[in-house]
Amino acid sequence: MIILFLLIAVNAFFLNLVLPWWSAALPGLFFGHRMNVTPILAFGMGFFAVFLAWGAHALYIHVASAAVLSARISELFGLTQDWILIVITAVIGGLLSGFATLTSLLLAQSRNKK
Amino acid sequence: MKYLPFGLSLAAGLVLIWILSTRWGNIPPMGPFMDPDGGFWAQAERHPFSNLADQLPGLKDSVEVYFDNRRVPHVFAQNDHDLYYMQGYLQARDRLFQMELQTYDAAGRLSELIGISLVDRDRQSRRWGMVFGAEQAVTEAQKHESSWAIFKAYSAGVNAYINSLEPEQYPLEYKLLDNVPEPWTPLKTALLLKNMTRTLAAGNSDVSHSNTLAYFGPEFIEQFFDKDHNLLDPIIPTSRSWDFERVPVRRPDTIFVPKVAKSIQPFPVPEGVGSNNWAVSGNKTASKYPILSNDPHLRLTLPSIWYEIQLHAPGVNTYGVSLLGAPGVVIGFNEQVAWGVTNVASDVLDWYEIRFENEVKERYWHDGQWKPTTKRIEEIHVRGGKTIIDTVIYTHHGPVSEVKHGNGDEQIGADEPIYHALRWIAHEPSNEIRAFYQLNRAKNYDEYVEALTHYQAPAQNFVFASAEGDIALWVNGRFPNKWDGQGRTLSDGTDPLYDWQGWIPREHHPHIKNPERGFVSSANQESTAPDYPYYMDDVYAPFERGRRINERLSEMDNITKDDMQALLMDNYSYHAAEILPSMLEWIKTDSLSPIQREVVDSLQAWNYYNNAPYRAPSIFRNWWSELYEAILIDEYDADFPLRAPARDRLVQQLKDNSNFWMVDDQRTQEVETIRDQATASFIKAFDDLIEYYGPWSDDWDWGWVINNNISHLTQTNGLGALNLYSGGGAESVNATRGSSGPSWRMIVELGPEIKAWGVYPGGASGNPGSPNYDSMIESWRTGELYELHFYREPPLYSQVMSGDESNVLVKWNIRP
Repeated sequence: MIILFLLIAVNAFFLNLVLPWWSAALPGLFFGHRMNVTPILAFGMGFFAVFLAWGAHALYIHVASAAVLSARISELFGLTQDWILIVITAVIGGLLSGFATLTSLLLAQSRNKK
Repeated sequence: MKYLPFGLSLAAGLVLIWILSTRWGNIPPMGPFMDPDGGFWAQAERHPFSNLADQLPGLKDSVEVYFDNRRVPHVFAQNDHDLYYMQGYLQARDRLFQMELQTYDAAGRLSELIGISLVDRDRQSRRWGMVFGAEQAVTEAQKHESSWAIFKAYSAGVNAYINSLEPEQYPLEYKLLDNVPEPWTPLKTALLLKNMTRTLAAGNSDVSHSNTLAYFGPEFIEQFFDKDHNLLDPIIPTSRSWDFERVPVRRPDTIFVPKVAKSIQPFPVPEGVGSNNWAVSGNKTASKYPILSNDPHLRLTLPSIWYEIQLHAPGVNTYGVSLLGAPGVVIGFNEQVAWGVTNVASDVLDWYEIRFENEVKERYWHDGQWKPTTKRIEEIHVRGGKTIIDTVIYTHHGPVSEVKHGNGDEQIGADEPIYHALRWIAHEPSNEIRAFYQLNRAKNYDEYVEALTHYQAPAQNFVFASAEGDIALWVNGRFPNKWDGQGRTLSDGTDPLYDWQGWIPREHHPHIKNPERGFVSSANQESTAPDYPYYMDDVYAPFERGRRINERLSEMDNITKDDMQALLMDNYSYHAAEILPSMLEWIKTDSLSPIQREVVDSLQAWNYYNNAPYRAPSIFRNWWSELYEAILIDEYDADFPLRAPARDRLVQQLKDNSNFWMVDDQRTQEVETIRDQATASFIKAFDDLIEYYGPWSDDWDWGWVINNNISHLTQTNGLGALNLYSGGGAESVNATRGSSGPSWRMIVELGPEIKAWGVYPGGASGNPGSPNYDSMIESWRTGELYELHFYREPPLYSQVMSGDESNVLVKWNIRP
């Protein structure tokens, strides 16, 4: 299970380097149906895998660029703390992946119900 | 049913994707925008030079570019084509969005980029014939082969950059607006120049002047608008005599009274468009060579309007600031000469009342006959909305605007629509790029003069100094030869005597070379003393900055760069020195509270400098505004636009006769004296300051009250630099105030080894995610200047590699 979680996280990170933002959903679709867990847990695993991948990526950029831009964008959105921006980024990726993983799992379960 | 959970989950996921990929109001599509790889995060700059290409398509030869410690590019090319190609490429690399926004604005296409909210601005751009003017400029440039080659090379460079971009590399603003860059064309360069003409040479008060004339009568006009201020020190010294006869023009016997003297929106000339420049000759300097200085005052934005660059190729080596979208250096120097500009407020925009034959508007009456119009269909594409079609009628004067007749003012009694045609210098064919091309290569006074012949608009006072020791100033541009007062009021569109009847011959333009006083200068004040034979206009800047500069330069000797720097930052307020002593005499201190009296006492002690840590400028500024308003508000309480007297003229009037007829508030029974008005306006100013800044304390420092904010071009929150604690004022040489001020400060010391210093409030990069976005603002705020690295030859390898922080150079080699 932990392996699937890592596969989603790592693949989401690398796919995003070459594909647009919605690529965050792809690993979940691909690996979700191999999970042997409840739908809620599947969603949670998918969510947290990409939450971590995107969050880490954003955090790295935030630190490496001395927060020059993240501070400005935070102000633009009226956020009081820069880290909220990183969390929003992570949540967006997480939601995409969560639903993808869930959808993939539910499709597999529906088929197996025959 | 068994697929239901799957279906719901899939639907939820798809809805999520739709929500995240849609723009909601001004909120960018959050999916792509927040993507850590492709979204705004990609603009958080970590490696500024990591994406330098080894090779660029379309170059003719290899090019070297050196980025210095402030990331100013120094281009070493082997031919003109590659030089301007690289300027285009580099400007796009640093400022692409700004380049596009300015030209969308000029072309009346902002609603295409942003939405319906900008349709009015776009419609006005179209009706003012901005694109028509740009097309004239392109046609003119095409006639001159080498100019046209530059337009094309520059465009190719911009496009090479645009074509190299992956979507994630688009500048931040495109991601915010959910838009993509479009290819650059020479027309866009022309549009950019027209935008400068609109910024600097679209001021007019034809309608309000007509109204004011009708309302207050000719004596009032004479008193407040005709007469020069007694302290005016014109740009061309009064000692200059004019040894020519003016080219005669025929004038009408009586002045036309327009149907409406109402309702055309006068172009809002933003306060803060005004500038200083000067050059002192070698016999006044410590180095024995001339020193030149320039600070153009404009609206301050991020990114800055200017882009610093050095351009080096066979036959040219020039350094200075360029405009985003135009090849060449606009203000700067080369190895032999230096030049700078300030705006000339000559009247080069006139409105004509047009009589059409009928509603079809196919013919209009002029010179005793019906003449045909032409039509230009303008399509304004609106983002997320329907395209708006606007048909603009053109007469020989220019494009026609329909004037909405107001709310039934009897005096005008206009029920039928009224049409005004626009005659404007921006519609004349011209080739300013050629002027800058030659100026960048000028070696001496004669070549400078020759270069200026190609420059038409917006007219500028071109100050000049050369290593040979010459200093000069030409009031330069193309000026219609007008009869006295022509175009000051709305003109009669049917009478050819109101047409522009030709141009002031170039050799008659106001100019001066090596005057006896040892310096030349300009600060937007009147160009000449009244004995100059031609009429140019009456809306020049108040006398204050010009007089201050001339007095300081007269006093100075053994001038060094430091003296010039001090003058650039001079905060002296002639305005306060002129009127404050009287105001302090007028105020009735016995009707003030103890704390108010303390404030008045602090004004008594003030030295009239608008320095940031002083509170006096804050009080004086507010007090004067209240007094000005109190004096004018009753007379100017009309529902049509009127022209108000300039600050310095009203001051002069008050000093001549402090109880002249306007001082009394005619809406009240009692007669107010200047003492009543001065006291009441002081109390109002005091109360306002309390309301905004709290009790009398350091919060009243002029540094804060000046309200110096530099916003992003799109006014987007978070992308500006706000609340910059600064000194200065509209009437000071350091004309910083509000969001306007010195957009580039430059000092050039000529000589065998030219030396130069400069700063602008911004940075090389237009990317808000780059440290170079605003890196020079602090130096600008405090009046520091950077020494400009001007290389005669490509810098040596040892220089490039030296680890000395102050001299870091990044070298970029590019192959064709």
